[in-house]
Amino acid sequence: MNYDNSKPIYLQIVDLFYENILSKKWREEERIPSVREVAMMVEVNPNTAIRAFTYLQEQNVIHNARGIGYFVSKNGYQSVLNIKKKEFIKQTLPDVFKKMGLLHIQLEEVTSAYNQYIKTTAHEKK
Amino acid sequence: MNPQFNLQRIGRFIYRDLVLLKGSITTAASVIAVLFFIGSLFDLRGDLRFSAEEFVGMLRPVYIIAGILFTFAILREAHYKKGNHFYFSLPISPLERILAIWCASSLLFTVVFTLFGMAVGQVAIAVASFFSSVDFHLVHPFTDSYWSLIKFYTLIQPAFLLGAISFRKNRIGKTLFLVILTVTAVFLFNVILCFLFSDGSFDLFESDPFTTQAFAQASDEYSSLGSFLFGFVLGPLMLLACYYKLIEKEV
Amino acid sequence: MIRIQNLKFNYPKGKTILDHINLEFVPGNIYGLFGRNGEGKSTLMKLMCGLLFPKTGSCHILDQPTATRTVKGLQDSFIVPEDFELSPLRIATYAKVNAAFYPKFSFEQFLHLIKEFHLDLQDFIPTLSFGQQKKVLIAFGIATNTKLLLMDEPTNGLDIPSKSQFRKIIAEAADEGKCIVIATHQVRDLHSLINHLVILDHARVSFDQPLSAVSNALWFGKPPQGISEPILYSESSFGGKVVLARKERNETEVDLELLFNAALARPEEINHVLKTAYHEPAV
Repeated sequence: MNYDNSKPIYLQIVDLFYENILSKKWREEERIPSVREVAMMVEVNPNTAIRAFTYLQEQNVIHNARGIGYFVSKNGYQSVLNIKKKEFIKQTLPDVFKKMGLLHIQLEEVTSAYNQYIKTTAHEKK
Repeated sequence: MNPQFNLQRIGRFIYRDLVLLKGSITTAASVIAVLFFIGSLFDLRGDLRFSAEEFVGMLRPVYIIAGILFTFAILREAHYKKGNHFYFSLPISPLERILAIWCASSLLFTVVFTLFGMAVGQVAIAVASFFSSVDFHLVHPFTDSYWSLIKFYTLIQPAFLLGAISFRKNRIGKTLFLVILTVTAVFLFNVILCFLFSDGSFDLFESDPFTTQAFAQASDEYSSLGSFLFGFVLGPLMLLACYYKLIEKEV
Repeated sequence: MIRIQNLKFNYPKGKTILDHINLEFVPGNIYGLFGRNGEGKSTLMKLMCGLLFPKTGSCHILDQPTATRTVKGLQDSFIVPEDFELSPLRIATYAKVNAAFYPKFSFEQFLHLIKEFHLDLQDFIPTLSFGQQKKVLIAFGIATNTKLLLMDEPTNGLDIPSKSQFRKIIAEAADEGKCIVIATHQVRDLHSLINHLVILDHARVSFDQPLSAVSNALWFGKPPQGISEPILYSESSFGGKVVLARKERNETEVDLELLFNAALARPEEINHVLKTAYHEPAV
């Protein structure tokens, strides 16, 4: 794993989980790797992995079935979607708006760029 | 079960030492086998028999030298800068360690060496009986001179053990020097004692016949007093000193 | 697990290497032992497993003085020194003759680790490179399952893929009952593993904190624009990063290299911020 130096490692592990759930690599109510497996996978102290697991449990994204292991929660996908949406609106968008202001970019330009993007990706999918 | 003393652990430690020294032991054994074989054939000349005395005579120098070398080899790891951290952090108590070392270099060595000598001698006899007029007969070594040889080795070996533990460099040389020094000191002490007890009737510095008598008496006294000192005081004392040296040894 | 009290040490005829050392090592942690060259990291590790004896003060493992080298203490400690040579045996023989002394040794685990390191039980140790021999000793040390595992510069001599392998293996081996202490200069190799930092400087312990407390109290990164508060420490190099008191800021990952430099340059200030933050933990 390539660490982003500014973000705590446990939150980077959380992001990795989010990615896996959003991309449907890990489906709802499916078992996910254990703390130790995750610690090995990303080469971190097991305590750090535990912290990520605890955080995800608090967000109701995963749950612990005693003695069996950890599973993606029933509404895990929806929870992650909500979290990431909120993050996008609260963090990513303000950054974009700030840049738009600096570079004098109008909303219309963004709209047309967006439409163009949708068109090409739809084309590629075909 | 006493966690600090366990016979099984002593056994494992001896086994470990033997495995580590396997190469040296094999080399030494093959050299000694050749020496013994030739020696035995020589002893068979003339009377066509390999007598017990001849056997002990052949065993004596090799046994002492090989024993001392083995004693030093077994403790080489303790001084090896890149390996002794492992040696000293191995979970075995100092008492178990010293007992294991002593058993291997004294008891086990003697038994194995004797059997080995007998086996080679026997082979030599068998070969000779096949090619010459030698009658096949068994080697049997257990005579007084054999036992006194064993006693002698058992008594002086702890001194070499102590040297092997104490010195870092030139261990054999330093130990030999100290042993010679000790023997000389004990001998001189005897001479002085003799001199005192005979009320100064010997004059050591004049060449009258009494001088030789003084020395003769001294060496007589020495052999009894000396073996007492070595056997019952010095030997165990040396082993005790080895034990403390092991406890104190830092890496 | 290991308690060191008021320990002092010097080599014969040498200057004092360690002085007034008070430390406690607890299972469930991976300790990073840092310090400049010659600040006594290796010496401290040797003291912790009874290979050296304190001049004054004490060092206990499981309530037994390490200097007495009791079987009980030795059965629960293992050291991987920086420089060593293994006995000239095959790996399998090496494990066989030595493992018998460690009651918790697992051959299964050893075999797994040897394979993980791309070695073979039939390999003859003297034909292996130093890095490979180091892997053998690390694998053996982990398989002994001692409560205390000391490693002096374990990643020295390992190539880049092996360093990653090493991190995986340590992440796998670490658990509640195990206390791992790693002395190193290679901060980058190991920063994701360490969760408690001890720094030795001028023969003393100049820093001893869990990283959770550090990330709670300190902030690492490029300086935010227009800050007025005092900067605790700044790296002078291009695009220099700074250490600040965290206060209300978002938690950042502890930059061990920066923290190490900061703790060496300004130990009082850094320790003071940690001490005060500890009493009023951020919500």
